[in-house]
Amino acid sequence: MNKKFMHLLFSRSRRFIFIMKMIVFILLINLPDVCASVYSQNTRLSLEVKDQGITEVFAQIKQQSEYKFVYRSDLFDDLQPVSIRAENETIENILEKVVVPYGIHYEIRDKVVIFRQDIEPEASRAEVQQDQKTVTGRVTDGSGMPVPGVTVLLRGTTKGTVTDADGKYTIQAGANDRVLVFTFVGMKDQEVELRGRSLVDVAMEEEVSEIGEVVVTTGMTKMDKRLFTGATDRLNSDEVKIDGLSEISRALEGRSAGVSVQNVSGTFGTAPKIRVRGATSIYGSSKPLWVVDGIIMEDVTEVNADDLSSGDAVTLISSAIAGLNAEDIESFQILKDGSATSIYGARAMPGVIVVTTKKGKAGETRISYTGEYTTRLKPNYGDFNIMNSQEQMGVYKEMQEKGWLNFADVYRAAESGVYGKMYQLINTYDPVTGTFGLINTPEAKNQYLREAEMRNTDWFGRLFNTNVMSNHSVSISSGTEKSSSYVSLSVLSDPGWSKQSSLSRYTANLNTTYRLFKALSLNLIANASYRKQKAPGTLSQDIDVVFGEVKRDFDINPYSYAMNTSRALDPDEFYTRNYADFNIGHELENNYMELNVIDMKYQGEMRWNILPELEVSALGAIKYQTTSQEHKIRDESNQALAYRAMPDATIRDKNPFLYTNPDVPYSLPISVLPQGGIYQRTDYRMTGYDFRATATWNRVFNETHITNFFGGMEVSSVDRGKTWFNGWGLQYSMGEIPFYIYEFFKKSIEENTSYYSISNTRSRHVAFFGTGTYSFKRRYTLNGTIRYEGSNKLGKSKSARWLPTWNLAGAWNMHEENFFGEFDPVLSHFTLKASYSLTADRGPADVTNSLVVINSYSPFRPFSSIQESGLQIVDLENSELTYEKKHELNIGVDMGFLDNRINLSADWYNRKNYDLIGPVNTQGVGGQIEKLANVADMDSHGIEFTLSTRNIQSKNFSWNTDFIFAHNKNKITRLESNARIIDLVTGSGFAREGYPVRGLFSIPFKGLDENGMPTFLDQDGQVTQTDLYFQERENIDFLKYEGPTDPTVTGSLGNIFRYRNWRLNIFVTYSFGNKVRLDPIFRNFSSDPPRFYSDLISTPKEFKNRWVLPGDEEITDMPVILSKRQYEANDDLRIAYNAYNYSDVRVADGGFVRMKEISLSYDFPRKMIEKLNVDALSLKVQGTNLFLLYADSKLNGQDPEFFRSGGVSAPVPKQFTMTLRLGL
Amino acid sequence: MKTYKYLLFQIIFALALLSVSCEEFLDETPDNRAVIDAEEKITRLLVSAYPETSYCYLSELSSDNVDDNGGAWTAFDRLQTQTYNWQDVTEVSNDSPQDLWDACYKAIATANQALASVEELGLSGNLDAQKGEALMCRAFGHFVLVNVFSKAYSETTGSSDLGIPWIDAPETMVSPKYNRTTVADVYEKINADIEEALPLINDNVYEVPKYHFNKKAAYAFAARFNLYYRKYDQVIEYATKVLGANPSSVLRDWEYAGTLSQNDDLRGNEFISVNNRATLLLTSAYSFWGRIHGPYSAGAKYAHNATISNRETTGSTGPWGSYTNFYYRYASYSSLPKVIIRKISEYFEYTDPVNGIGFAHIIHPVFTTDETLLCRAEAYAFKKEYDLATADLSAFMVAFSTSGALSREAVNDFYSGIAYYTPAEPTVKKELQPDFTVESGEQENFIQCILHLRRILTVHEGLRWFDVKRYGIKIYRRTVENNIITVTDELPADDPRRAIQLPQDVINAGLEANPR
Repeated sequence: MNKKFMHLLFSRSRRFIFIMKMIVFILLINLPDVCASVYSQNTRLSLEVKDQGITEVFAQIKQQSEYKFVYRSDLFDDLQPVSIRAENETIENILEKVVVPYGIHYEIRDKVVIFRQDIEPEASRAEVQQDQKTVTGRVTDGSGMPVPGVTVLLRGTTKGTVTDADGKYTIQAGANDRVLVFTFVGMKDQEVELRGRSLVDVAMEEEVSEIGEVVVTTGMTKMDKRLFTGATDRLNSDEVKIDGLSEISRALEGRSAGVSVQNVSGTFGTAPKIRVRGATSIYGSSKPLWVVDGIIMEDVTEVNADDLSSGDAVTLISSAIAGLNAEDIESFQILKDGSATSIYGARAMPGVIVVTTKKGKAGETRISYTGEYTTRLKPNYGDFNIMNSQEQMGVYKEMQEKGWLNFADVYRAAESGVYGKMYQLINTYDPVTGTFGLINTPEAKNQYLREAEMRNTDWFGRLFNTNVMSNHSVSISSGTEKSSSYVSLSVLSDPGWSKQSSLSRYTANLNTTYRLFKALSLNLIANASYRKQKAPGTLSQDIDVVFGEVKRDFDINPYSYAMNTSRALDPDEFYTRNYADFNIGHELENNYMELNVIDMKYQGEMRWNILPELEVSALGAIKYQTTSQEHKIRDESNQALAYRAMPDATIRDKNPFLYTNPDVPYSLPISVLPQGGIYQRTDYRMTGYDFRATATWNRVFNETHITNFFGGMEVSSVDRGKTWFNGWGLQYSMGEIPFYIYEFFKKSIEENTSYYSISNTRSRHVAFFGTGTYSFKRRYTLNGTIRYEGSNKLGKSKSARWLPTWNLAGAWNMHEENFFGEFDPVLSHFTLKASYSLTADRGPADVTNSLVVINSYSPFRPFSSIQESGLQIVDLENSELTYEKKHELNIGVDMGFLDNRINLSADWYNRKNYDLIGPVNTQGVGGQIEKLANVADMDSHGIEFTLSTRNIQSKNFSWNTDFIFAHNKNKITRLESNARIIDLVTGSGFAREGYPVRGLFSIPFKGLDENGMPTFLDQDGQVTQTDLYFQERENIDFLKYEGPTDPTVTGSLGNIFRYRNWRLNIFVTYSFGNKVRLDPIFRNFSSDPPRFYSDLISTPKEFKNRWVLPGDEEITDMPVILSKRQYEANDDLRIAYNAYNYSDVRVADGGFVRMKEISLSYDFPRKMIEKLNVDALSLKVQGTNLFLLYADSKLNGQDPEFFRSGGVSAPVPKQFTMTLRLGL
Repeated sequence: MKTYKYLLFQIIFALALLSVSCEEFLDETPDNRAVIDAEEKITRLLVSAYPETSYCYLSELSSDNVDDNGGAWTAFDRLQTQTYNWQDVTEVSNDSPQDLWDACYKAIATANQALASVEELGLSGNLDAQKGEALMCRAFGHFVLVNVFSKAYSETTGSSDLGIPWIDAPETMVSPKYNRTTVADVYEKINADIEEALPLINDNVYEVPKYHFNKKAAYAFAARFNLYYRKYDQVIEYATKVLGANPSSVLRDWEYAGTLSQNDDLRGNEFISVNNRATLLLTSAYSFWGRIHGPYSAGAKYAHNATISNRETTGSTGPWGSYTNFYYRYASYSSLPKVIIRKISEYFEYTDPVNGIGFAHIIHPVFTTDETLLCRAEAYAFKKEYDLATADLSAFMVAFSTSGALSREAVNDFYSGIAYYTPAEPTVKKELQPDFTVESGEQENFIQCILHLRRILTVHEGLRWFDVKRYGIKIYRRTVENNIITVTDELPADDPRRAIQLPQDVINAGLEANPR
């Protein structure tokens, strides 16, 4: 809608037209380059021309530099041949000599040289023209290519014609016809005054929306960047896209100052944790709003920041843009401060990322193909400090000597490995051969254990692949006068990095614009994608609040398995888990999830220019997403077998999966899954409707007062549904017929669990908004926005649902001042911006109690005969409930030095977040002591800058550098919280007043005692072993504050080297300021007895330095392996060993410098490929995520970004990608 | 001008229409929550008007039914240590004061919500049953709170003793501030609710009547309330409605119950069975109490031990003779210092069977016919109708033991024949120091007998603590190790710690704390 604005803005005077064209050209020419806005005019050139046309001079300059020349084709027709010899001269000097003498003037903006002739007073000549005359000319596009099909009209008449295949036209003009109007879809209208000329050539400009940096799009409006007062970054997809990363949001890492991207899991479909200027909410998601082609993308299900790192199956559908093919994306616009985001008002607090997809371009039909072929490295034990099998067996041996791993405990243990197998073999008698599985002699046993010692199983080798993932995209872009379109298809095929993680995705994208009448156009967009994905079977994780251990039943995540499992196990052998046979390979084949995701979006927009100044537009969209997630637990999987494992009476009585009927006295445990497996299915469905009507008004008065108003309303509705079904007893291998017994349902009733569930949510929004901009000669700009939003999110209360938000901002373009010439070219550009705004968000998804929330439930009753369904109050009414809000002051400066060869863009901001949702302790008389309400405040502030420099620029070689830096700090200034020790010390950190949103604390470690057991400071200030109380809430000041878990410094350093057709990109990202909790060294220590003392675990190499003999406490911090007797004498020692996991010795600095990307690409020269009928051909080889240049050595190979949580999580792999691009 | 006016009118009209339709559009509920708009829904809502935390743990551990069993045993958690030692509890977990506070007020909030909906849906007569249940629930929630967190009701000091906030409308603000009224005021309001509710109760609306205030349960509550309120005529009237003409026919079948195995949960399951004629009201509670008092080592440090059992409770001798005459005797576990009557079992709701994670529950038999009978006997004793009291005690003994009916003489002889309790020389007769008069002689003997029986009947159920409070009985904290009794603390009749301290968070939120 602001396209029109741009047009009108500059059509008031020739000078404006001229500048506009220039800008358009700059942008068109610069498109393929990274931030190609600066080019040195100090480039020295050497050339020699004798008696040749001036175009030869231009050709030579072009060869040595990246200058482009723009001029009317007939401008130099009458010029005499020129001769010139120049050595090491600036382009100005050369041009001064060759063109200025002929009355031709030029201007250089960036890499573009534009020539124009001194205008003669043509008007006087026009008066003497005859009545009818023939006007001819040629219409070209920005690159000089002819544009056929352009409508040429005499303004104010219906007389007109269209251009032919060569872009040429002929028209008869009368004496009163003064202006020709050229129109073409996808290009800006051109109005050209005849002034008596008979030859009028026109270079059409592509529509502003298509074009790079000059325009800022907020998804709703488009704005000249010089009039834009907010903090924003525009990233072109070509520049930031990292090939081989199918989830494009990951590519934003380090690309925009202040935007942090943490890849907490690398699995496809899992969104990275993205923060724009840090957290904006304490309990809310702080997730930025994604807007694709003007439509707000809604997640199919709410996944908050902590859930993202949970590894639960739901994370596979947490990315709002996983259905978009990266190749279809044109650009990202990241809106950071309140001024930039204010048009989204009450949803904009966490920032907005606007995605624009590609559109068809007028002119030639272009077909392009992109193929990416990626191979990923298997993780390597060499990178981690995990014991090899010999060292591991040594640990087991010590455990055995200390009373663990003995026959009585291990033979019938729920989980066992090498030792358990040995005992089982010894106890296995084969009546046919008359032999035992293993003879019970010391020699035989030693032989057996020796084999294990030498095994050194490479789990990574077994569970991971290096196969090739490929992504093929084909797109067709075409355009005529009436319409233009962009159509694409893509296929992503990934056989899977680890076992059972294959993926295929198909996307289709159609974007077409049709001009019905001159003033009325229609834009239709359809996206569809289908994804089929496999993942290892997983259940949701649980947290044991007593010990704070995060647990997941039946976890078979290949990465976690390889990291946690002893290398002494035989990968082909079945060991014991949950009292049943278990082998990881077998289990992965029999226990997996299949995801089918269909994602569709259809949208249409109509624009109508009622008046030249006024455009109205109506936009409607439908989104539909459906996901089915089938968890197939087949008959032979360990998870199914566990439900019927009862080889003997002892195990039968111990196995927690068996069922004992409480109604029948003295009954024995039975299996509720005597046959078959389990089929669990979760369906997510989302249907969304959007409608928006807007009006834009633009006018420039006296070439001085620039005004722009934009207003409108939008309505949106999103219905989400989730159904879950637990198909019990499906016999996969028996024709997929279910078999179940009634006791299953009886047990479920008694345990208060359901076998299916449905949940539906509905969200409704209505918003009215308006924004106005006034600028005085583009020097001084003032902008104000107001939005009034209503939502049903907070519940059915009329008082809570509406919220006005606003923004006030100003900008000063100093380079537009008359006096600025004095600074040029040392300081070539200077803009100062300031904004103050109120934006908001709706807080955590589950806080909706503006009226009392009542839900159905089943009270717990122990017998099936006394069940009853009821309703209960879930949340009391909170009549004071409101949105979470943020006041933000942003001051930004854009500076260009040395003729924009050095560009610096910096912002400082200060934010006050208030009315945040947090817990509040009330007197509880209403029925709830702890409530969630708008009671918390938070401050944050930060600076961020982007420094872009062109270091070297010569004919064949260039070197550009981008340095991006952002520092953000936040502090909770008001929060009542009942954080327990356990909340504060776990890896994700916790909110506490006076500290950052996610602060990490540690239990102070006080060394080992004389028995090698760890000691700590406890809540009473005493040194203790077992008196530490994880649920303490009052005396928590003894905890050591480590730092935030979110990084405070993020950024990147990018270097691009170009030599002829070669391009080398070295991109390094960094992140500092946060602390990481190391993976727990004493896992499974909370069970009784600790499952840590089993023959399955793998221990880190630090364990070699463990306490063995008295005196060792002086030299090591690694506690002793407890003897069984020690443990039995005091089973509270579990507390001490768990505390060790959460002590200050188990914290590392989270800072890192990552070699994110090294790529080398080669564009085949045109000459070479022309014969093949190919327009463009390029090849690129790229290494992604190759290594860390810096990371805390304490991490020992643990990726500081990755949260190892099992389930479906996986780190971002090290990978190599080859990309082939082909244009026809 | 005219056209402008017309246009203006049109615009205003359009805006009005738009805003109305916007509001309608936004009225859509965000999730599948329920809206209380039908009679059936009020009935369903009242399913949750019963506290999901019981006072068993708190009051039992505060009472003289437990001792410290010494250093060989460990406490279950800090809550247990703090509660046993009459300290201000800082913990928040199952059974903690905070959970009880939350659960009772939540039940009250639910009742108030239901009452508000009754008002909203009109005063048609067919909502009487719901209104009755809601009032009963509201009264019961306040009754539990005032007895736990305040001193026992007293005619002399009740109008100045700190009560608990009375709430009779749904809360709508984030953190409103309340005042603690007096105990007398709370009792008065409970009484009003009960009196209003009793005629409205209708058993027909309940799906599982024994988990609701059915008619008998309501009268049993009214009887106990009035006993604490010292309105003995009402006690007799209401208890009689529960017991009918022939109490024996409604008392528990102790003889049958006594034949069940002590193992597993057989006795526990039977004790709280809805088919058992003795159970009147059952509530389901999140609680570790089943584990802590039950046959496990958990929390064995503070338990009902053999010293208490043999000298004062389940193993003590009374006018009925030896405890061996009882049908339903304690289970003894040689490895544990606990003496356990198997009646409250733990029911575990697994959320994660592998790691044994889930919720622990108990089913609390809040009112039983046996206890109501003893309420009536106590009322008779106060009205000096000793024959009637004897008849009730006899009915109870006939059901409870093989020793048969009691006589007035036996009661008088036994209790006047024994010395008062001292911590070192325990007897079943503790000195009564209430602020009302218990005549020495026959009246005191009967009260002693009834208190003795109540203690045996309701062991593990927490009612003893309220009897201790009502009668101003001085109790002690004793460590019993190797049969050596060491007194560590005592709780005289006027000790402020008889009112359990309010939850820490509630005090922090500005509610007046109990004095210490």
